[in-house]
Amino acid sequence: MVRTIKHLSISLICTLALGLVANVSDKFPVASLAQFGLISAAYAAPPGVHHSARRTTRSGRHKTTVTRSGNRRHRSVSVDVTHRHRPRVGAVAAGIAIGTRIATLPRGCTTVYRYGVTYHHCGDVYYRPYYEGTQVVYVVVEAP
Amino acid sequence: MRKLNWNKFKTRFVLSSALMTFTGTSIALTTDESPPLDPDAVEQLQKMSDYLGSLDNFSFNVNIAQDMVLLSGQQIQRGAEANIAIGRPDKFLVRRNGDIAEQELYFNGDNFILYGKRVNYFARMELSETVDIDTVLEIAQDEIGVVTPAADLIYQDSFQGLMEGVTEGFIVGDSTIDGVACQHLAFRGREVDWQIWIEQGENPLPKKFLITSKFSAGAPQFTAVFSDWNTAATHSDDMFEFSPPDGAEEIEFITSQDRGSIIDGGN
Repeated sequence: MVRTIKHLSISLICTLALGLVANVSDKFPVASLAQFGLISAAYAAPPGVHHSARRTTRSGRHKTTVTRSGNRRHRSVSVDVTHRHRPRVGAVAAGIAIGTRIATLPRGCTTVYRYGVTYHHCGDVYYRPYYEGTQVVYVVVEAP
Repeated sequence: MRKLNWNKFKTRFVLSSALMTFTGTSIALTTDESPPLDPDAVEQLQKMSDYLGSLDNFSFNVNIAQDMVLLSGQQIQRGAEANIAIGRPDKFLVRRNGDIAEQELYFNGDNFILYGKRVNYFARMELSETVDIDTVLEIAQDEIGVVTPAADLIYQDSFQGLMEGVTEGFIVGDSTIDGVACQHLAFRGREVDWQIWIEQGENPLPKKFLITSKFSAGAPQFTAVFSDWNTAATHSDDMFEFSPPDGAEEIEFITSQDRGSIIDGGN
């Protein structure tokens, strides 16, 4: 059972990794195949290639400090990555939890611009587009 | 260059074993064949890595095919083409045209930008200091889950990444890719087997790369064929700078930190 779960999670990682090399989609790529029951995809890189970076991440409100030292490439770098608009989670809007992520918008949405940001208004729910890897997804947000 | 004949090797092994059993004497299995990890194969790969690592400004095209396995067991292959321009130490531009996506990745040392043409959205990962290509490839993968096409071969030292976890490898022999004489190498790792075709002669460039995910049902494959290598490209600095096209809108990346709090909506 544990083995099965491990295998499934590997498949999932592969699916997400798709974004990466080949099949990356602009627009719900994996989702469209998922309707046919996509379970895995070929690795797009030898797994060893990306697994060896060692780092520590320090959380900040809008910043992640990525410190890299002693990894296989013998570099030591401390870099801040800025995040400006982090998705908020917790509350519930119109029966769907804030932070819920979907790959395809429901039918009948209208596009709304608020403060320079696009929202998709679907029924009583507002979605905001994000890139998850190279795939565009929509995350439920509070009404802008 | 030595070539392996595996059938011959197996036959010889079986015969030797039979002989040992039969005679009761211990006959050392005299093998002039290569060890599991043939140093000649390793050397060829190292040469390619050194050569790629020595390039400053270069560009190439890659044609990618990736198998996907459906629940039914049926395999579906999707494809993409990418044009990649590298300006070491800290710049690149990747243009990718796929079955589903048309995207560009820009890195100018301080900003890593993904732009999707069909959706007309771009997102930016800003770095607090200038970093090199190797570092941003790793940060992009870890922080925002973006893996750059052909990243394996973009690293300054591609050998180290490729050989990680490799237990076996040998030279398959000569091969021709797109009319170019190549050396065909095959390696085995824990989860994948992979093969690479390297141009023979002065410019040991990768011409083809194939990965088999041997423990996924159906052993799906990923194939990348490289072409149009320009090893002394002239890049203008502004080609690595992203200028948002008309109507393009900036959105955000979901980061590794956010991921835990995102709820899967199921589609």
